[in-house]
Amino acid sequence: MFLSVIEIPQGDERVSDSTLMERLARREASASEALAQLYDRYGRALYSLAVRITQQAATAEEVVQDVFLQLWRNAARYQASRGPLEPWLFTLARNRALDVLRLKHEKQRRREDAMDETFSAPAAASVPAAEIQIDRQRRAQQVRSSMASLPEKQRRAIELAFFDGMTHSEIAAALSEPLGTIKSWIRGGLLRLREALEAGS
Amino acid sequence: MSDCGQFEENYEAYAIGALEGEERAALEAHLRGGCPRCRAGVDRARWVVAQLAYLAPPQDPPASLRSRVAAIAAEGASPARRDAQSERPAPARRFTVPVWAWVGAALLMLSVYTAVELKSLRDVLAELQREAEAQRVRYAQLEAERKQFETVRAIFSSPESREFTLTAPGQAPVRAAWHPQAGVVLTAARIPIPSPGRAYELWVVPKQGPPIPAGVFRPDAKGQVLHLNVPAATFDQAAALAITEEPAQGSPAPTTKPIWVASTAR
Repeated sequence: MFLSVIEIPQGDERVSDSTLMERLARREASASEALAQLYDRYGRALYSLAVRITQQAATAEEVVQDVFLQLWRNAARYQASRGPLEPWLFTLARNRALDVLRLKHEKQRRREDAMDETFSAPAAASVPAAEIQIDRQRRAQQVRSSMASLPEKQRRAIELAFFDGMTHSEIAAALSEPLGTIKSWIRGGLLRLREALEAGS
Repeated sequence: MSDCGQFEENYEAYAIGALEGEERAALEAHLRGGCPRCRAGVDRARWVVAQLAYLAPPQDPPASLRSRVAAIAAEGASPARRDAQSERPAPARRFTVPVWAWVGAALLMLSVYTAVELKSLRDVLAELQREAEAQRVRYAQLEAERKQFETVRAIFSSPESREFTLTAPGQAPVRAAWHPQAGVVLTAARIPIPSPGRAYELWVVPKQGPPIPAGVFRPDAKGQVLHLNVPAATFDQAAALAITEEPAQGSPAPTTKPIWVASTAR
């Protein structure tokens, strides 16, 4: 309706996420370009995540659009929290995609507002130096190899929690394992991943 | 906090969403209490959990998604730009040309002819008044449009608004944001365009009683929708939002089965 297609130069990695977020927050004339640059940085990863969760390309597109819509609407609020953008985007995309899944399965929506839950979260101080220091490619590699080093069932448990939004007891039922085992698998696997990411920084 | 130890082992499970029941409730309550240590622990675990996104097999999004994302900002920024462009300079320019022309003509008549025909002067004045009235109407339309944009933006950005997704099998979803006072906004893209003489109608389905109409709308040529309405019902009275197809002027009660539906129950 009021949409216009805008020609945008290719994303410039030298402009920091926070500079781009400032442009969004101030609703500058270049905001649309800034949004496209952020999309160039994170769009593919967000889309891949949404496809993995929803298993549907059209729904994944909706999720990604929604994530950027939230980013646009909440740019000013985001500024205040000053955490890194990437984990926030991943968290939001995951929550939205899981919401879609839940709606589909006609389950109750558990996450009323993913926004409030995550926006307050990543204060700059709590984020490991890895966030800034390792480049994303390498971090992605570390995540994959750390998870690949886990026993098959433990990895599966973490995937069911992350990609399918299952709780401890749902995973226990799905994998026919005791609840206590699932709990320690998930915690252990995530702690191991954290160590790997922190060691890599 | 001396009892943080009991929560520490739950940070990761909470961050990934696997924690449930009493354990989850206890940690949430503790976090609401503002414990900085547990807050930092959960934030750190959330950061780790977010990295799991890299396990998703890489997929290339369609090229069109990029322009749709860029357009989000273009859409949001448009009210300001419309203000700047069309409200001031454009009406002024269109206004000055006829005024000068008519004033010039009037002066000419006054200076050339000693016997002024009152009738033609009255015509000139009447024409000027009509012109001014047309400009006023145009301005009012622009102003109304601008106000609508402001309202839409306010609804979307207000923490008091609740969001719903109206779904229909095999159709693109319709999104709704509902603010207790400002009303409900619908947005959609690529939804089917009703045949001529037909339109969509939004309904608030109350917990009790018949559906309450909440405005008629038609998508544009691309199937895009922006619809704003202040329904005669509150969140608390509503059980669902629904959209039916109706005659273009709308119906007081639905005449077809709902196409899109969203439950508004908490």
